[in-house]
Amino acid sequence: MNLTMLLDMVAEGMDDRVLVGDLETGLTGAELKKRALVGAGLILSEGSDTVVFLGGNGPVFPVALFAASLTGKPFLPINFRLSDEQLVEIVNRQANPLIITDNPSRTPGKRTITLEEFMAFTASGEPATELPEVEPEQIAVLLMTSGTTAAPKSAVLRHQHLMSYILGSVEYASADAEDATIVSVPPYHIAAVANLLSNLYAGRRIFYLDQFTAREWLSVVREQKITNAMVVPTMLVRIVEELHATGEQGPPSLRSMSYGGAKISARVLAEALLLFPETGFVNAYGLTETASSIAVLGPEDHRDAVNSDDPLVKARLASVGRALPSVEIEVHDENGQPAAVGEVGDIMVRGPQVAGEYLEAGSRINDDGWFPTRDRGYIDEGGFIFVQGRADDTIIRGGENIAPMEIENVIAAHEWIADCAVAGVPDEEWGQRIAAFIVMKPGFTLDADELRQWVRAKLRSSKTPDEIVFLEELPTTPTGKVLRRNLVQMVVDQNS
Amino acid sequence: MGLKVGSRLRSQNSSCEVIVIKGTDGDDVLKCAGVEMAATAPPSDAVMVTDGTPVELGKRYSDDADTVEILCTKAGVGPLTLGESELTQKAAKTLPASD
Repeated sequence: MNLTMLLDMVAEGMDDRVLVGDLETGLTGAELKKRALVGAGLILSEGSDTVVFLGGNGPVFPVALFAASLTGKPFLPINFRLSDEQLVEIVNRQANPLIITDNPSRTPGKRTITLEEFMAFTASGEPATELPEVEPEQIAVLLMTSGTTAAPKSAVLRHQHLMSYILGSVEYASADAEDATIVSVPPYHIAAVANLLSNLYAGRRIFYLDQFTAREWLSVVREQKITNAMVVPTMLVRIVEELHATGEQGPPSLRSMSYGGAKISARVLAEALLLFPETGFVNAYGLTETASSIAVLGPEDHRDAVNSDDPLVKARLASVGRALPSVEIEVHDENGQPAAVGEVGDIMVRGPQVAGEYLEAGSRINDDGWFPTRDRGYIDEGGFIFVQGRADDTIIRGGENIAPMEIENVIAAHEWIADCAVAGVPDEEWGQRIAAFIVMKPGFTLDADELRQWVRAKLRSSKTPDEIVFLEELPTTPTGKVLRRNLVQMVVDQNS
Repeated sequence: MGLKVGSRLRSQNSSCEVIVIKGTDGDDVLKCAGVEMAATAPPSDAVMVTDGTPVELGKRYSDDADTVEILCTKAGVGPLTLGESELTQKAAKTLPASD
């Protein structure tokens, strides 16, 4: 099983269905395959060992990805927002890359082709006739980890991992012919790779909005009659704000909206559910290393939680749902044993889609097949998984383990506060002390003592922030993950 | 013998191709249109069947006991059989679209 098989099935069964872009001008299944075959010919004739993609979202992305897949060469989409230095460092890890780029001057001395040249070439060139056999164990995609806590590593996704995810969770050609999805996550993110493969396989047209603004997103959803959307929480926050500002309801064509990739505020989610009453919400939990989603909180789960009087069921709105049928998820205690229901520990995952491997560091899968997600959390009696944050973010203050999310949830419940993050900063006496980083809503102010009282009233004093920093906005990765190490550094620099 | 997860198999007397989604260690042989499926393409002089239950592209097939799950990656004349039992099309799964 490899991505060629997926492309063949799409081109065979949905040859004349427009699958990428606008209904009038987009690529059909057959055109996508033909262009990928031409691109494959180029990669083979260049003798490239990696195909680097350095650009935004658009039809070039799927053509380039499948061209690389057909040749069995790894496809490496890189964040175009990286500094020149970082970019060159990553490109130099490859021996002989072909770089498909919107700016060839950023990678001097390398074999480059612009996005436009590549697309023009695949429209008119000769398709490759002799392709190598691609084994399931070969690398399909390399993705640089976001590096919120350490230097970026190359996560390895082999053909078998991506295909296991698709075959385990998507039904072939199950989308209606008029279905369409809007995508604004960048191509170097696992969500964009998984989204591309699953929507093509389902036969759902993908419309790329490369530069996200809430206004543009809403107008595309209306014009293109978008039925499905995937957003990161930051985008959902902006969409909710925009709808509030204009007094509109969410576009009714939208049947499904999935969100994930970072923590979402309970308040924003509650508002979104009201603004999109006809839309089914899906919270997807997954990692780059697990070839996308491993757990899902589906539309019915959302409705059940909203409508229930049972505190246990109500709480599930803040969960990431249950494990997909094709994977197992367990929480393990510090001895590596399965934790009791409700007990917090390390979230572990096992299954055929789990890659759990980095080029620089090898496989992180243990002898029993479990991959540690490095997320902390617990599972309730119904199998719903609650993620409390990264193990690396756990604050150890005077020997006590504190999950930042527990404090963040209390702070975020204050209606004057727009956003917040909590992190441990180095402390000589306590090992770490708790710092809270607060973004106020426009026009509101709080002082540090008022905020401490708010937290102390709901949590113990040992969980009350020692240090409070007010900011205009939180530093985040492009997909909305808070860059805690930048926040911690800010406090360290201030105190030195 | 058995059927290994992920293996690709081709009919030897029709255009049908499949991939094994759920495998088995059992000795029962997977056949298409009465002939054992193989990893290789049918010989050039193979006599192709033209009449029989169609195996449909993208559909999943399993036996009554659910010992195996076979996904059709290229349509062709069938039916698919495992040992003595004919495989039937499974109902589509209803997972919400998560991406």
